[in-house]
Order: sequence, then C-alpha cells, then structure tokens
Amino acid sequence: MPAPIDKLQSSFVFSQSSLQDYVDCQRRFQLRYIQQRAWPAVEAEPAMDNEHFMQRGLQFHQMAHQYWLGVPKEKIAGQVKGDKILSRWWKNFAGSKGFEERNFQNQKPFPEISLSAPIGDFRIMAKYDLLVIQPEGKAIIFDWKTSRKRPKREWLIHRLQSRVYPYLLVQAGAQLNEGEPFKPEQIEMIYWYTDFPDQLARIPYSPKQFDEDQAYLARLISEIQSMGEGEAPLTEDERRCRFCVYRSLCNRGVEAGPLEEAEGDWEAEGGFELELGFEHIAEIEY
Amino acid sequence: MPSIANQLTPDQISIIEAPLDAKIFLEGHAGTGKTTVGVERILTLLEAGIPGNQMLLLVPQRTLAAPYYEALRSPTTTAGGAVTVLTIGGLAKRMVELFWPLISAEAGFANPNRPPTFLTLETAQYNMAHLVRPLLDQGFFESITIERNRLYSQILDNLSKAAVVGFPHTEISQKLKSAWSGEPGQAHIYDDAQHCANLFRTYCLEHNLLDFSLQIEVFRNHLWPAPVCHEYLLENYRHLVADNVEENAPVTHDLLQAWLPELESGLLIHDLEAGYRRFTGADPQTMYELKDYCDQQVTFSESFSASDEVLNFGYAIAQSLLPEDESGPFKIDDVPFPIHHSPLDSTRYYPQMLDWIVEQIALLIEDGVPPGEIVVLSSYLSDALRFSLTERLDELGIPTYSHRPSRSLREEPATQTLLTLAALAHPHWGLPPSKFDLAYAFIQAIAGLDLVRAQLLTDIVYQKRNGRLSPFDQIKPETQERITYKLGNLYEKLRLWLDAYIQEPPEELDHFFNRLFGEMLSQPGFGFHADYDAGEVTANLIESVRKFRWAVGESLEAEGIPLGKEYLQMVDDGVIAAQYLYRWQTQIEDAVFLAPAYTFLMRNRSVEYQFWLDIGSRGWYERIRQPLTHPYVLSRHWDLHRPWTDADEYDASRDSLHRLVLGLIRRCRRGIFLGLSELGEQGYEHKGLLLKAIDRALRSAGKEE
Ligand code: SF4
Repeated sequence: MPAPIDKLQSSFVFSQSSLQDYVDCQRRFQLRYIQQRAWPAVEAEPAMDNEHFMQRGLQFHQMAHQYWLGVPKEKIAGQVKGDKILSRWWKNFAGSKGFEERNFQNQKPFPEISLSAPIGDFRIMAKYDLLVIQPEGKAIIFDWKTSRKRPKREWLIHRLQSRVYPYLLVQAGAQLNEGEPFKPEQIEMIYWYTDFPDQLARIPYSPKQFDEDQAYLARLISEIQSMGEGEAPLTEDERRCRFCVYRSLCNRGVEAGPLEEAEGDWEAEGGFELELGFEHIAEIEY
Repeated sequence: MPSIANQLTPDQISIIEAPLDAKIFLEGHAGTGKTTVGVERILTLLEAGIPGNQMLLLVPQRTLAAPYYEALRSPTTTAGGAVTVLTIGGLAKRMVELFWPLISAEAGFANPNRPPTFLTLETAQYNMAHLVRPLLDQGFFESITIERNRLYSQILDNLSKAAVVGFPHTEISQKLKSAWSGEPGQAHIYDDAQHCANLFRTYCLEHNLLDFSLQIEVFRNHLWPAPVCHEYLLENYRHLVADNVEENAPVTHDLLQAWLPELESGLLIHDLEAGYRRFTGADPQTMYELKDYCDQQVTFSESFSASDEVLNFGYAIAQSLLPEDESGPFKIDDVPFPIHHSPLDSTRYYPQMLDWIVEQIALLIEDGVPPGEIVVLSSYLSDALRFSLTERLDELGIPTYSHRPSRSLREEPATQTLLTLAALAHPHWGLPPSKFDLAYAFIQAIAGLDLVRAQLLTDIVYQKRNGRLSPFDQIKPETQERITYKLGNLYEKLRLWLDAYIQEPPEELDHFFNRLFGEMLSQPGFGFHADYDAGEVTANLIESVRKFRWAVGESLEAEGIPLGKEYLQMVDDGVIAAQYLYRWQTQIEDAVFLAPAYTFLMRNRSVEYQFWLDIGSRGWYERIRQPLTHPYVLSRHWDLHRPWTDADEYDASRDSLHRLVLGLIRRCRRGIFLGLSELGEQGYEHKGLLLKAIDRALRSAGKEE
C-alpha cells in the first residue's frame, strides 16, 4: 500500500468543496485530502435513495449542459421519460422563461467551464454550471441545485461556494471579458433549484465582499498549510458526523443519518465518488 | 516568463515562442527536451492570453501527462480557464455522453431514449463471458488451450483493434485467417472469435452498452461528422498539443489530420523510435503522415538525459541487434560502457540474482543515490517476483513502489472477509462459506482473534448445512472463557448485525458492503478499525461491485439471477476483481520503482540507474501468446492474404527489442546493472536475444570475454 502522506501535496488544487470540508471539520479535510483515505461507509440513509439522488443530480447537470450546447429540448426530454423526478426537474428547467434561448441572444453562455487561479502556494479551481456574460459586461454565475429543500439565503451566503465562485471569476475571468478582469460589482451568483424554479437565490457580489473573501481564503489556506502531522481537531458539531463517512474512525457513531435531514446542498458535500466523479474530474479525467 | 527559461536551448525557445498560430511537428529521441517544449508552449500560450479552456492536450496514456499536470497545477501558472487533458478514449466518451440524444438512434442502439452505460474492461469481460460461455459448451474454441479470461479479453481486443485501426469489426476473422500459416484446420478458431465479437456487438447495441471499441466507433462514425458535435469541438478547442503521437492508433491520426487544418495552432510531439504500445494499435507509420499537416518540422538531437557512456552501450546493443540497419545509431568509440553484471559463478539460480540486485541497490543508496533514481525493470513482473524483491528491499529499509499492488483485489484478506460475510448474510444464494473461510473471515473481522480461537469458535457456532451462526452464550462457559468474553462480545455483535440484516429484504451488494464496513468492521474493536489498507481495499471492491451492478444489474434482474451471487461466482472464476480499479497512480516520491520495462517507458522519466532483470529471458522481446488476435496482422499496413511467418515474427521481435533497448538507455543517466542467472524464474535455462546482443556488443568492444 502507498505510504501515508502527512503534508498536502504541492500539486493539490483547492476547490470550494475541499475548503468547505476544512471549515466543517479539519479532521475530515486531513483524512480526505491530505492523507487521501478511502473510508467507504454509508453517507446517508436509505443508501439507494441517496444513490438515486446523486445520479439524478449528475444527470440533470448533464442535461442542462446538453441544452446549452444546442441539443434540442425534446431530444433531451426523451431521455428521462420514465423518471418522474427528473422529468419534473427538466420541465421546470425547460419551461423556465429565464432560460429561453431568446433571452440569451446577445449574451455569451459558457456551460460547465472551469477556471483556476493561484492562491498562496497553491491553486484554486471551480467548475461553473453556467456562466453568462451579458452585453453590458455583467457576469452571472448560475448554479443548479437539485436538493429537496431550498435552504435559507443566509445559509447560502456563508457557503464556501458563494465565496469561491465569484472571487475566482474576478481572479481568473479576464479572458471571458476581453482581457479585462471583472469588477466584483459586475458579478452576480444565482442558485437555481430544480424543485423551486421560481425561487432563485440571487447573491450579488461587491468590492467589499471580494476583499473579505480574498483575506478569508488566504487565511484558510495558510491555516491548512500549517496543519501539523498529528490528528487534526474533530468538529464540535457532531451532527455533521452523521453524514460523514469517517464516523467509525472518529468514534462518532455507527449509522448514517437520514437523507431528508442532510443539509441543503448535500450534493455539494458529496462523498468520495462524487468528489472524484463530478465536480473535480472534468479537467483531469481520461 | 517560464520559470526554467534560462535552461532552455535556442531551438526549444524558438518553438515555445513561435507565433500563436504556428503548427509544428517536433520530433526527437527520448531525453531531447521535447516534452519540456510541450509544457512551456502551453504556459506561453496561456501567458499570451489564450484561454486555457480553448486548449486541448492529447496524450495516449494518462501517465504521459504527468509533467503537464505538474506545470498546470503550479501557482506560478497564469490564472484563467483550465486546459483540458484527454486521451482519445476520454474524448470519445465525453462526446458520447454529451451528444448521446442526437446520435443514439442512428448509431443503432435499441433504446435511444435511455442513457448509455459505459463498460469498464472488467464489465466488458463479464458481458463477453456471459455470451461466450454457452458457446464453449457447444464446442467453440475447442482446439486451443487458453485460459477463459484471456480468451474473452482477446475477443474484446479484436473489437478494439477494428475500432482504432479503422476497419469494420466484421472483417476481423477474414484478416486473421488470411495471415494464418499454421495448420489449416486451426483457422476456424478465427471464425469462432468473429462470431463472438459479432454477438457481443449486437448485445451491446441492444442494451445501450459501450465498451471501448464502440465508444471509439460511435465517436468516429457519428459524432465527429455531426454538425453540433463538430462545431463544439472546433469552437472549444482552438489550440492543440499532442505529445507522444506515435503511441496513438490510426484513428487518432485520422482525427488529427482532419482537425489540424481547422485549429489555430498545433504542436505535435513525436518520440523517435518509440511506438511501444503496438499491442494497443499504436502506429508510428500513420502518425508520420501528420508531419505534412504542420507548417514547420523540427528535429531535436541533443540528449539531456542519457550520458555518452550509457548511450554508447545502448548503441552497441542496437548495432548488434540490427547490424544491417545502416542508418544507425552508432557506437561512439573509446567511451567505456557504464555497466555491471551479476557474477555468473554465484548467480546461477534466480534467487541468487535477486540477492545480487538487492545488494547493489543497497550499495548505491549507501553511496548517496536517492532511491527514486533507481528502477528495477523486467520483461514481465510476476507477483512472485515483485514480492521477493519488495521483501528483500524492505528488510534493508529501502522503500519501493510498483505500478500495481502485489496482490489482486480478490486475493486481499479484506476482500475475502467481505465476500465470505456476504455469502453468510444471503443464505438464499445457496453459497454457504466453508468453515475454513469463515474462520479466516473472523480473524480479519474481529481484532485480536487468533487462528486457534477463530477455528474453535467457527467449529462450535457455525453449521454449514443451514449457513447459520448460533449465539455466543450457548457455548459452554469454559470454552467461552477460552475464546474470551471480549472477543465473544464482538462476535455476538457481528452475529446480531448479520441476523438483523437477514430478516430484512436484501440490499444491493455494494450497499451491503458499505454498511457492513461502516457499521461493523470499521467500528472500534473490529478488524478494520483504523486500518486504512482495509478501507482502501473495501472501497475498491465496492467500486467494482457498483460498476458491475450498473452495467449488468438490469439484465440479471430480468433473468431472475441475484446480482450478488453472480458477482461472487465471477470473482471465483477470476473474471472480476482481478485487478485494482483506482488510486494506484499515487506515486511515492523517493522509492525504488519496480516495473515491467514498458510500464517504465510509458512514465517517460529518466533515472540515474536501471537494473535489467533476467536479461536472458525471451520475455524481453517475445509477444505474449495471443492465439485469437494479432497486432501486426490487424494493423493498417498488413496486406490481406500475406501470411505471417516465423521470419516475420523474428523480425518483429528484434525490432521491438531494438526500440525497447534504445528507449531504456535514453532514459538512463549513469549506469545499468544487468541481472543474469543461468536458470530463469521458472527454473529453465535460457539465452535470449537480448543476452546474445549484449554479449556480442561486449565482445566487439573487446570489453569482455
Ligand atoms: S466523523 Fe465527524 S469528526 Fe470525524 S471527520 Fe467526519 S465530521 Fe469530522
């Protein structure tokens, strides 16, 4: 077996989900990203519902991508005829006025685009579900959410995703804006929920927020860099352990928590498969 | 500026800084700095404002992208869109996924509205086995002796060859038969192979299954010509860097020929005298036609990796192997050979040769050579050989790593434990474990339980007849004491857990493993607790089961066959869980690398010292026996009706050994240690071409008697 790794590899690329893991539980970050421990316990119960939930999430993202690439709506819809939930999601998406083609006529949509930028001694990367650059220079980040619940805006604002995505667009988006970096105030992030199509969560960005995010992310990364070789602290919020595969390793319980109690964006929390299988693989897959 | 700018030669700089619309064909031997140019060219394009998301790096195999990744992940690299790194297989799969609704019907899939299922090698083999097994009972392939798994994989290989070479899969047997020069009665096995390939393809189309060959064919025949997909590729990838183009098959070269004129810039990098992956269809000949599609052709000749001494030795072998090749390369006179060989008088037997190798490695390390600068290479690295070497080096505290783990997934104790407990938890499968297997599983599952206690416990609590476990408290008190209450308590927890599971409707096997691992085996007191290796093995096994379920679950359900039972039987047959699935790419930074020679070449890195093991072995050049397929006959250049003769075989062997030797020496900076034993690993005396060529080279240089 490969020898254990004590330090974060210099080629490590940060993402919103790895940083969220760190914020949620330093031990989880250490186990998952530094030591790269596979620990295949059930993440949420029932396991099959969780699997379906993740698969549908992936498939929906794929369908949205197909839509932006010009695959006709009816062809896409044909793929999900037998699946009531996916059909509903697709109906909500395809029926949403906001996504009609004519609304995007003078705009540049970039589906599933990945951006990366240096941060400290590392890089940070994000894969955007959809970036839309409007003629007046406004940049909108769309993120599709397939969770059953629509979390409160307050909760969303504090997620690492809401901070990393706009921050990185400022840092790495110049090529999408004719060589000029976007100004924070040009950026807005919109979470679109497949089951709540009319309840968009809009989060505008600002220079003040950018400065705060820059400082915050730099601090997080320098904290991570200075993590010692010993066991990192376990989260104090033991509710997180119910949905964490390492719970047996940390003596934090036996059974996984119920899927319906999982946090709003469970899909972003993901497990090993999802970590390896979706957000992160696009540019490193073979 | 790129960080290594001051170490670059003017030739390198002129390509790196070529105009942004340049299309360049760069060739040179290994170690001449071509990949450095590829990496720096990408960085330069990024710095010039070309969005990374408009660049595609195409490599034939993921290991060859390592230097590019290192650069792209560096914090010194410009911010922006991410460069896409793909193999041709990865590109085909991505396009099929994205544009499936547009082409699934015209490509002939029976359920175009249902999503595709991509087969792994393992699940493709399983499906092939499923179709071929009944035919074997009818007498198919009767006249050849071959392991079943190899039979299945060669039929799959034929399909892949048809796809990557670019001929209809229905012509496989015609090609193979026309080159057959053995007994005429034997040629019918190719018809059998053709029949199986056809069956498999039809089955895949009926069930939306795509093995590698079908992914490539769908991409080539339906996606590349489809306007939406074509436009997508042209718009998204405006700049291309393709490294090691010679390791690709003709279908990739065809694609590049069509693509290059439409790209803004391109850099194709050719490693001269390589083409090691011929067995996968690599075709340096079709690759060469790409040269004409570039505006600029450049050749590098200065070697940065190998020393003159090492090159001299390699050239001498090369000349001795192909004396009629007047184009060289030629030995440089008066330069000594930096080689050492095992002393013949004391390394007659294979283990003695291994001892000598280990001793020499230890001496090098004592002299300050970093372990990561040493590789031990053999023609074929058997599990036994890897184990012997690792163990010997371990004893001296010398770290090693290998291209794959020393055991297959199914041989891992954790796998066996999980499979045994699965059989126990699913009595309706009718596969009750043996007492021996169960005792073994208990030892692994319950921390601190030894063999004697495990056997005692199993003998008392387990009745194979009904596959049930009885409670610990029904054991006589004195025996309970012998087993200990602590261990008995853990046994009881496991028993109750299994019992509770049996009372409920069964779960999918992978979910059962997730649960068994998380709720029992990895909990405090149990054998997998804090055992990261067991976690890794379990994750691999679960991944294998899950992919199996996704690929064949529905068909098995339709036939009323429990998936878990079928999986266990396939593991027993060696069809699945024969290999690890992922995570073995993790490279340990400073350790001696043990690998087959071709695996080392496909990592494309150079080292200070190489050990060539058992140079008398024929494995260094002979093709593995593949009675149902043929990489040369199925290539684009073999004339139909020309028989493949012994002379062709000899020439091919010599040619591949020639390439291999030059490839190795060009990746060696200081010296080569030759391991030689009179009797090989299997105990037979052998004196193959490599040994003879080295012998001749030494004699002609007057360096050895
Ligand atoms: S189980 Fe809890 S403490 Fe342990 S890694 Fe997971 S979240 Fe952290």
